[in-house]
Amino acid sequence: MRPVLRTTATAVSSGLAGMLRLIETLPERLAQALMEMLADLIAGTTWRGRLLGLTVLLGLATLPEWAGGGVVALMIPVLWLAYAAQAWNLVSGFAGLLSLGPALFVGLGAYCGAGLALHAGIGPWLGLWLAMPAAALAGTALGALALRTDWPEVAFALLTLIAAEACRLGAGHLEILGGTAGLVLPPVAPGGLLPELRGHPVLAYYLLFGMTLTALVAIRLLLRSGLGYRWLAVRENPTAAAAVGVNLFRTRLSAMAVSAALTAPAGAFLAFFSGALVPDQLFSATSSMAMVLGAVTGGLGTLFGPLVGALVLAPVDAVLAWLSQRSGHPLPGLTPFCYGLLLVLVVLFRPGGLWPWLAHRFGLVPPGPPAGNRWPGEPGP
Amino acid sequence: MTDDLLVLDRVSKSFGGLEAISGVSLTVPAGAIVALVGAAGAGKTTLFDLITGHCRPDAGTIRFLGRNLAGLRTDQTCAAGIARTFHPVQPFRGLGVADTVMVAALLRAPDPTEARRRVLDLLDLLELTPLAGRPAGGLVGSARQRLELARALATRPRLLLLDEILGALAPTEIRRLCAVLHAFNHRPGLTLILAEPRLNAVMALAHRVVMLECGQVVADADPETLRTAAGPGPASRESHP
Repeated sequence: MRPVLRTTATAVSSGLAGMLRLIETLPERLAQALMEMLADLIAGTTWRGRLLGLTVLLGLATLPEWAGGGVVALMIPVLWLAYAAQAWNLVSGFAGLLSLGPALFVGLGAYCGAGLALHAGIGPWLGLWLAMPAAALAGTALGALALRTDWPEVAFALLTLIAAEACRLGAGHLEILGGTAGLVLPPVAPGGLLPELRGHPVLAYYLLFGMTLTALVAIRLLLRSGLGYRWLAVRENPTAAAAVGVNLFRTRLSAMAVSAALTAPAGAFLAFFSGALVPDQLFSATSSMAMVLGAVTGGLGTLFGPLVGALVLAPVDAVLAWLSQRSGHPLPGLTPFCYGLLLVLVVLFRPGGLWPWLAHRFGLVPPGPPAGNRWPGEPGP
Repeated sequence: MTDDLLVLDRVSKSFGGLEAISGVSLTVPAGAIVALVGAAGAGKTTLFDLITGHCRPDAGTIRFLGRNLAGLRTDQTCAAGIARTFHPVQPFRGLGVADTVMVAALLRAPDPTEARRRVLDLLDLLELTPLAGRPAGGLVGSARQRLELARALATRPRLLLLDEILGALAPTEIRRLCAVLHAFNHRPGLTLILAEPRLNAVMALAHRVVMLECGQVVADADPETLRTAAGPGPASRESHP
């Protein structure tokens, strides 16, 4: 009996000691993983770039403290567009698959969130976890249809464009979604409620700030994973990617699914903060165009491009609204015109987008052609 | 026969009215180095396209390790153990040199840390380490061919199809690259098929030479026999290692 007890005791004590050691080293390991993540995040930037990044981050984080309500109100569409364009940039910029109907997933996210809240009493925080998979599923289904054809890239662009239009018309005919008049969420008490996601602009601002930052970090880390490498390889050269064992169909589909899932929260945000859902606005081609242009203006397939693009594009609407108010004339159709003009200018003068040019011009990244990830043998920052 | 790595049985392929490959039968034993020699348009690249599943044969079967490759896509034949290089080269233009090899290494090593280690080894072997961070589209000279080779080797193939990788290189470059290929053929037992337009480039390396003309095999012999048959031509200038 004794030896059995002794061995059991030894086993238990050594097990406990092992667990203790694990718990003891846990903070250290977590810290190490966090440091590695941070190093990955700032790789390929100069100290000047890092300093500017930190300043912008802190500036945006404290914006409602030092700026007026007008600036916060202006920054809300900027951050919204930055987030939505970033989500589009994932499939079209990083995976190289042109999607022309990202508003489809904005609308899906909006109607999923609002529909669940109105008809099933499911709050936005829970509804989001249903809206994101729903959008991912829709994206996957569209992709699976288009990518099986002989000319996958063209079929994909056309199908996404058509699907967004079909949903715009379809949502206008569904009584449960309010028809063409749209859905209106019941008003809430002023002051803002976080659980209901309704109300105050400062709340909206911080929510979007968090979403944009999360998307940026998540995509950066994704690009360092096996999946990210495959996305880039498929974008750069599908033939060569297939020859090194990359499944083109599955890789493209995964990019579409992740991008659609990321876009859905942008829609849910719009639904809850505006309180009204109109199919003609949510699924509109202009909204799709804004997302595409936001990323293209800033720099297609770059992480900070959508943010820079949104800073240029989103104020256009505000300026036009101000102009029409000043002149007393409504200016219909001027927004798409300005977008088109901007696209022409960008394609003519900065075909790579504004961000890569700015980053080199102001020394935010090391000189020379853009490199990939951190590798030994290349000059450090 | 279990020793035969690749067996082509009366494979034919035509594009429109043109028969690019007509009735090619070929058996490649494991560990062999086979040179596929033929002028431009003889069907070398088409044969590679057929083996890797880039296009489908009109007739005939292709077996790899006893398995029929019919209906397999390129990524599936790659997973089965067939890698290739392209001529002209097909780089991931916007990707870095190391990142390019990384994409391929991730096929066999899903853990990025392990894949990274393999990438660094390969870059070192092919003298690409100083170029690790450069975009693959900006390479010049033999670095492009070496990157093609590194990327193909990173998938840890059993059979490697090299499409005119030596043709454009200087003699010293050829010797260095041949040494690397020889090492891979020796240790992990990598089987090589080299497509080259000229015979003398592959004389030193190949165990066997298959001559291709207008999509048909016109000669299949060891280099020594071919050399004596051809007489003292440009091939005899090449020295043995």
